[in-house]
Amino acid sequence: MNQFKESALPLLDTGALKVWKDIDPSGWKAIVTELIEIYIRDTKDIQNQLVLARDRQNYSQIAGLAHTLKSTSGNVGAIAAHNLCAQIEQIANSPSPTPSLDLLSEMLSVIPSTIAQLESYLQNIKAS
Amino acid sequence: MLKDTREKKEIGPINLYHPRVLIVDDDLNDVTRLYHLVVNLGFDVNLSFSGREALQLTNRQNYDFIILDWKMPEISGQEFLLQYSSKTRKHRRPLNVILHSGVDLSDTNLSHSSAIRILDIWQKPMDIRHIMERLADLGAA
Repeated sequence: MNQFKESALPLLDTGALKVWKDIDPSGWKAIVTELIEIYIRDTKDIQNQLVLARDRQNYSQIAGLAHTLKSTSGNVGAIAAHNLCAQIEQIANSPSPTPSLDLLSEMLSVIPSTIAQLESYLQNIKAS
Repeated sequence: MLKDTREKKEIGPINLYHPRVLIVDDDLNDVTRLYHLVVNLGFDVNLSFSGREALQLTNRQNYDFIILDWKMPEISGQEFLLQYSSKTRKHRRPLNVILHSGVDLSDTNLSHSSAIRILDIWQKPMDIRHIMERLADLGAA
């Protein structure tokens, strides 16, 4: 597992995906593939919306996007993204809703790194 | 008349054959994950991506329980419970609900009419094994 430089958390814990092997030994690859593909597609969309919300300083939208991404990231084991989203959501929902630009920038760099790891994992399970 | 040979389970607060469950969530990732889990557990599953559609479905047919997202656009989980409670006929059996929420509901007033029975609250993101354990605790798996 690669470590993200700032958060020191792994980008991806594949345990959250490997659990499907026990639940559905014959169909787990298809399930995991579907979950990853949905996550990647939706997360790319959220990333674009996050950039727009940041530029407009729309903190309620940032909180909403972070809330959504927090949950879905947890589902696929994207630990660093999940943790950063939780921090951003908490700040954006606070009385002083101004997430630091560093935190948002970190989030926006974690997303493509996470997607790259998931794509790599997807290639591995398809090849296995 | 065909004889019902399905195994009857009587464990915990719900009494089920092959449970019929409705999953209500606007997030495709969450819906897909829960769908594959409950299908693997042998449930009959319906899916709904909005509170409005869920109100229509629960009005038309009975479910052993529903898994209800709390934070949804237009009609939230909370609004769903309020609307269901206000529109449901009194003689109908209570709707069993598992709340699936990304927000902490520990300080939220969840008391509704007798039309609703909250079975459990699941905090997102919830480990899939943990969900299986909770369903087993409810006698649903």
